Amino acid sequence: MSDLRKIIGLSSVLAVGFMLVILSCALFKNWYPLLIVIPFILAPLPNLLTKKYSTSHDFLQEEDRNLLDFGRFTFGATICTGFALPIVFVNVGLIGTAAATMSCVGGSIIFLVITLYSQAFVQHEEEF
Amino acid sequence: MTLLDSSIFRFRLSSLHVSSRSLGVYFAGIMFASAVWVFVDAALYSAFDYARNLHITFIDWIPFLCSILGIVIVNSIDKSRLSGDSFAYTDESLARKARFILFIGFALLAGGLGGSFTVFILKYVVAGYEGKSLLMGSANIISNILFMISATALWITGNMNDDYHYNLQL
Repeated sequence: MSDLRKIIGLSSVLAVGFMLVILSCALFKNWYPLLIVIPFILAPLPNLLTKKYSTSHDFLQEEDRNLLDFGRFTFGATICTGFALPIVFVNVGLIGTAAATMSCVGGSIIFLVITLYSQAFVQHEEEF
Repeated sequence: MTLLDSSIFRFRLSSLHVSSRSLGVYFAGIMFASAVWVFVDAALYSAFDYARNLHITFIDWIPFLCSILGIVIVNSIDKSRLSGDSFAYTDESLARKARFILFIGFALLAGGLGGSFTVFILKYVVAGYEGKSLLMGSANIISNILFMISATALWITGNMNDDYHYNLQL
C-alpha cells in the first residue's frame, strides 16, 4: 500500500471525525461538546513524551520503567476522561444525548487517526 | 499476544506495547479517572441546583482527598527500599522510614473508604433521603472503592517483575 493512499485515507477519516464534532456543536447551537474532544486530542501525548525521555542512548541500559508506567497511567486516565465527560455533561444537562454521542464518536475517530498515523509510516524490518 | 504481533494486519499495535504489566497500569489509570469523574459528576449535579435541599459540601470532599493523597503516597515509594537487606541499600533506617510512609499511605486510603461510608450513613441514610439524593451520596462510596481498585492494581503491577527488556539502540 503506497504512502499516498495511506495519507488520503487517514485524512478523509480525520475529516469525518471533525465533521461529526462540528455538527454536534452546530446542530444544537451549543458549543460545549468541543470540550469533549480535548482529552482525545491530548491522549497520545503522555506515551510519546515518556517514550522519548525514558530511552537512554547508552548501549544495553534499561529504560526508566517508572516513567513509562506513569505515561501509561496518564494515557488510561485521559481516555477514560474522554468517555466520561459526555456522560457528566448529559447528567448535568449542558448538552443533549445526541450531541454527546456524536462528539464522543468524533473524538475517538480523531484519536484513532492520530495513533494510526504515528504507526503508518514506520519502516519495519523484514522477518526471515 | 501472537495475534497482535503477527504481520497480518496493516497497522501494528506496537505503540501500545501490550503486556500484562502495561495492561495493569492502563487499567489502574482508567479506574482512577472513572473514580474522579463519578464524584465530580455528583458534585456538579448538586452545584447545578438540581438537588434543592441537599448539596455536596466540603465534608463530602474529605474522603475523596484522603484517597487521592493515599494513592499518590503509596505509589510513589520505591518498592526496592522496603526490605532492608537488599544488597544496594543496606540501610535499616531507610527501610523503616519507607515502611512508615507506606503505612501512612495505606491508612489514608482505608480512612478515605471508611470516611465515605461514614459520611453516607450520617448525612444521607440517617437523615432519610431517597432517590437521587441517595445516589448523590453513594457516588462518594463508589468513587472511593474505585480508588482502592486503582491503587491495588498499580501496587500489584509495580511488584510484578517483567522480563527486563534492554534498549538495543546504537
